[in-house]
Amino acid sequence: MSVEKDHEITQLLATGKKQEAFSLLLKEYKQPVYWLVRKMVIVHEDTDDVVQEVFLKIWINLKKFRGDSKLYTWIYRIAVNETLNFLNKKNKRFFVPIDDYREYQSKIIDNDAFYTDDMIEKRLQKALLTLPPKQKLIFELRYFKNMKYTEIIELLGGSMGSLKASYHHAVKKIQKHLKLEINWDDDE
Amino acid sequence: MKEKIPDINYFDDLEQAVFNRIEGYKKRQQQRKKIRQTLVVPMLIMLIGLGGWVYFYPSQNKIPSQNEHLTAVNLLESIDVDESDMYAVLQENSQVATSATDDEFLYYLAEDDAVEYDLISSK
Repeated sequence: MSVEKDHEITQLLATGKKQEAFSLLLKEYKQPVYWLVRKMVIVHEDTDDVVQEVFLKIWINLKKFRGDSKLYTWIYRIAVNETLNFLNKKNKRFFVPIDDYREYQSKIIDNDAFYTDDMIEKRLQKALLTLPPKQKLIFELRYFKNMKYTEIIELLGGSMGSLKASYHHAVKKIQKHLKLEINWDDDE
Repeated sequence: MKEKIPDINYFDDLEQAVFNRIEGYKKRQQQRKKIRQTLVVPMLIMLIGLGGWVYFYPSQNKIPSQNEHLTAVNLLESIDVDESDMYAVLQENSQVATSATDDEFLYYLAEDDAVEYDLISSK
C-alpha cells in the first residue's frame, strides 16, 4: 500500500483496465483491510466473510471511483461501513443477544493465537468490547493506527467536535473498565 | 499489539476466495439477466395483452347497447310469431333479455319505436 501503487491503480482504471486494476488493488490492500476489520470483529471467520464482502463491493463499484478522494480513503470507508453494518446486524439479531457475541469475542481474545499472551493487551481488547461499534472504531483508528482526526472524518464523516467527544468518551470508558478489572484482581 | 497472521497461506486463499466470489456474483447477474429476458419480458407482454383484452372485450354483464336491442327487435320482427308469445321469444332470443332485468328490458324497448311499449307492458 503506497502512493505510487495507488497512482498505478487509478491510472489502470482511467484506461479502462478494471481487471488489472482490481488485481493490483487486492494484492495491495488485502492485508491492511483484513487487519482493520479484524481489530473490530475479533473473530477470524467473521472477519474473513466481511473482508470478502468488502472486496466484492469494491469490485462492483470500482468504475464509480472518480478519484475525488484518495484511493485508500475510499477503500477504508467501504471496509468501515461494511464492518459497522456487520456488527450492528450481529447486535440486532434477537437469537444472538449482544452479550453472547461479546462473550464469544472475549473467548477468542483469550484463546486465539492472534492475541499475544500479554495480559494488559488482552485486558485492553476486552475493554474495547464494551464500547459501541462506532466508538470502538474511532478509538482503534486514533489509538492504534495513529490517524489524525481529519483523516478519521474523511472515513466516518461527522464533525470534529463529535469525533473528539466520541474519542474522549471511549477513553473514559476504557479507563473505568480497566480500573474495575484491576480492583477486582486485587480483591481476589 | 503484535499481529500474527492467522495462517501462512491465508492471504493467498483470501485473494482466491474474493475472485471466486466475484465469479459467483457475475454468474448471478447473468442469471438475473436471463430471467429478465426469458420470463419477465414475456410476462409483461402477457399482462399487457390480458389487460387490453379485459378492457376491450365486451363483458357479458354489460348493460345492453341500443344496437344490441335493435338486433333483438329485428330478430323478433323477422320471426312470425303469435303476439302472446312475443315476450317469451324476446327473452329467449335476445342478449338483452338474458342480461337485463325486466324493467330495464321494457325501458329499452320503450325507447325504441320498433316495438310498442303498450304491447309489451300489457302482458
